Amino acid sequence: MASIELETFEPPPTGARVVRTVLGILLRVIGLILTIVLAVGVGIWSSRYMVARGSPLSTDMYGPWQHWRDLGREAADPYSRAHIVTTGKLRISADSAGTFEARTDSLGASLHSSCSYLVEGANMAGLWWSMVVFDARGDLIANDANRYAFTADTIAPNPNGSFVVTLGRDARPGNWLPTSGAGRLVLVFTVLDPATGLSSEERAARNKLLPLIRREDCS
Amino acid sequence: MRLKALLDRFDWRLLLIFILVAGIVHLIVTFLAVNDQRGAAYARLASVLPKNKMTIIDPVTPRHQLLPFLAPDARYAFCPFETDDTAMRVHALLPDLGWTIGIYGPDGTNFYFSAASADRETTIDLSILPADGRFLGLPVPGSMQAIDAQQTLAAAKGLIVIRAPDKGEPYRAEVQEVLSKATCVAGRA
Repeated sequence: MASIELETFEPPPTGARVVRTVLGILLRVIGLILTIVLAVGVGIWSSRYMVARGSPLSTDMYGPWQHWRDLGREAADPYSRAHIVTTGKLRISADSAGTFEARTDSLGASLHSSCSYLVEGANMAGLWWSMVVFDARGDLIANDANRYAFTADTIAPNPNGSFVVTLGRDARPGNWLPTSGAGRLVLVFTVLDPATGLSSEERAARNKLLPLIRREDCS
Repeated sequence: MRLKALLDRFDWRLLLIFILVAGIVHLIVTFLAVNDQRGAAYARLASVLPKNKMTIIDPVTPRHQLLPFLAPDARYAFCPFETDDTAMRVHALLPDLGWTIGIYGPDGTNFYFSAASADRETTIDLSILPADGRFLGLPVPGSMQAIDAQQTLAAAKGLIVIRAPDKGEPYRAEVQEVLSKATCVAGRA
């Protein structure tokens, strides 16, 4: 004969049940509030990051060079529009020039004034270009040589039209851009399209000629 | 088994709420940033430069840098304009490679741009009309000078920027002279 054991059901006291229910609701409310606070933080941070630094939605990377593909265009995406408005930059439309910013060297390490760099560029084949070094806030770096930029007009090129610019604190022969004690650096390379414009293929070919940034040494 | 137990206990509604709230906040913050034009180049320059007048600014140096990331590779002439009750006429000469003229909206949109050719001077003559399409009289007959780009644009306000590449000390007087001939004048279209 099988036997059946019956457990007697004892309902918990009413007070304890109320406390457990209240605690459960409280935990859910706290969880909900934390979720919303975290979501608000992530929403603000992600927006600010994508506006300030860009993302694949609005920028292209060519080695260390970042290019906002719709900057200045009337049909620019909201991130590009917010970027130009919040930074106060005055940039030529991506339809008429390529403006490229590098915050790292070609190996991905941040550009910093405690290091020196070799920037090696190819012959830009008749295109007007300029290279300017700024600190991280976009300010020019004060230096005794009063030198802040090189352009297609002011560079001393190699015989084959290519060029080398050195970035560093200490004076160098040749095309030297002083970086003093600026901390993090931003290098801006601008190439104007010719008056007749560039096709998308020509633009792609131009973007392959962007300079390499090699770190030499750090102190 | 432990993973399954964890997944069973996970409140998926909270994840959904997180994604929704984060997405909505992200969009709101981005669109607020687009519409907050206090820090834009136009707002910064319009507060320090005269309106409807071409002003050649001093060479860009660390002590005299009106905008962040403003390249010191050029001399600049700026004209913040407003076409509330008038049209603007813009005239500029772009003599050599690297010279450019650009017209920007208050939000930084570059709605007109022209660069000089390598082999010849480029003369630019533009009319900027109020964006609401009001009639402001018949166009003034142009001069006999050859014009390479003659165009009429519509904009309520914005910034005209002429950029002259800085080739060094020996060329500065010549650059200054050409820049000083650029005009931005309120008047009939």
